[in-house]
Amino acid sequence: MTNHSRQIDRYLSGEMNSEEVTSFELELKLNAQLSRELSLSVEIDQMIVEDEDVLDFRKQLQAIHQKKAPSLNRTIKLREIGRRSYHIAAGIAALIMISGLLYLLIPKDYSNERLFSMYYSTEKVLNVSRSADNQLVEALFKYQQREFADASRLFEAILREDEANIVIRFYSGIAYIETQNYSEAIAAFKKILEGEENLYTEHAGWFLGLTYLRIDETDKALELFRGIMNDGDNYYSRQAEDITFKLTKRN
Amino acid sequence: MNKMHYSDETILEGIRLRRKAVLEYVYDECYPLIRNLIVKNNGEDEDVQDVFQDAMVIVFGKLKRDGLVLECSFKTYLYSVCHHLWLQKLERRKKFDKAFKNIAQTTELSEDELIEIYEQEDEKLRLYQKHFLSLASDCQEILKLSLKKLSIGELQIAMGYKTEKYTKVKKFRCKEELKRRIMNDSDYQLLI
Repeated sequence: MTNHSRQIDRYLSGEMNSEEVTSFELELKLNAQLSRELSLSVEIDQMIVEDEDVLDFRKQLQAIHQKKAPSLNRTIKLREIGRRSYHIAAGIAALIMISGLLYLLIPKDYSNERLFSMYYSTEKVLNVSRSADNQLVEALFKYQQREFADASRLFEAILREDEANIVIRFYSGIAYIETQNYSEAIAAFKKILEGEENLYTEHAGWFLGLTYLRIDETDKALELFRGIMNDGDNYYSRQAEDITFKLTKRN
Repeated sequence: MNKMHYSDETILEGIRLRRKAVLEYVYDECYPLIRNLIVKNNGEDEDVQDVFQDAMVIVFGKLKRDGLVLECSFKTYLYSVCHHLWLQKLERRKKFDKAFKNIAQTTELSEDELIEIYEQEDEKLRLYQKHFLSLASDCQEILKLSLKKLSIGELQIAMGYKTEKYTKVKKFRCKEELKRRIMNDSDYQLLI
């Protein structure tokens, strides 16, 4: 997210009052970066409105490509592995859910480690765009093959070149958890949370809480879970409510 | 079983009407040729997919707007469009190889067609389309619907979200993610 994103969004949505509009339009004349970002936003909107049939046509071509050429390039293979992993992960997630229900039916004490295992699932958060360079593809390969130490090293290399890459920062956080390098995982998730809101903010908050739980920093974990629980729009609000309930009941 | 063969007229009509069987046929017949052209000239598989798709979109757009009269076979025509598209990308990426330009040009494209291939604004548009389609489907949907003049409440109902606040945040994040993907694309950096 850029510094101007909110301003541009409010301007294009007609949410600014007349004074704000005047001030924004004055800044537009002076700030080339802002002007470029506004143009990009407007051009994207125009494309979505005017090219609906082209977008549908492209979508159709993509489907044909995926169906017809699974062996044409590595990226497609990667996606297929991803899909297979997804099915496996979905099966595992179902088992975790069933065992989670059994846990709920049988009163017991929840250790931090047990709670972490119950709630730690990356199934729904891993989603990366196709425009990846070779290093990224290799890193994701390692990740999908559960070679997390190698994946971590490659993620670190990518981040040295592209510090602002939130997606990779998030992946690296998960890889650190998997290699039990919790302090680095915490640093990665915190870095995402320090930036402005993005698609990974909610995920980073949730996994930061789980990481704190894993290293027995329960107070910090609880604080995060309470915040998530109280944000009704948060993707993890229900899970945060559950885990907060279990933790407070136990304590 | 004999393999189906479509005439060029049927192919053009099939593309215009987005007939799946025809599109699959074009893919079978032409993709290997285009792959060969690009991979042998500094390209990667992802480039092949992009160039092939962009060329098909150019053909589709032309058919929808003004129609298309071929002066060569469809395969030759598509090859020529892909050749120019790849040449343009190589030039932008400074990977231009003189030998590539000298690859036999099997057909001359009209001025209109060349403008569409080389016009910077059109290239930007193709890039936006590609990244838009790389978003999660709910993001694509909310961005589409949000431009149909729906109120935030109507948008919330259409998307099945719990609250207006969440709908607003989601829409904003999807747009930001799209902008981020576009701005991080090295080809975009060369276009602005």
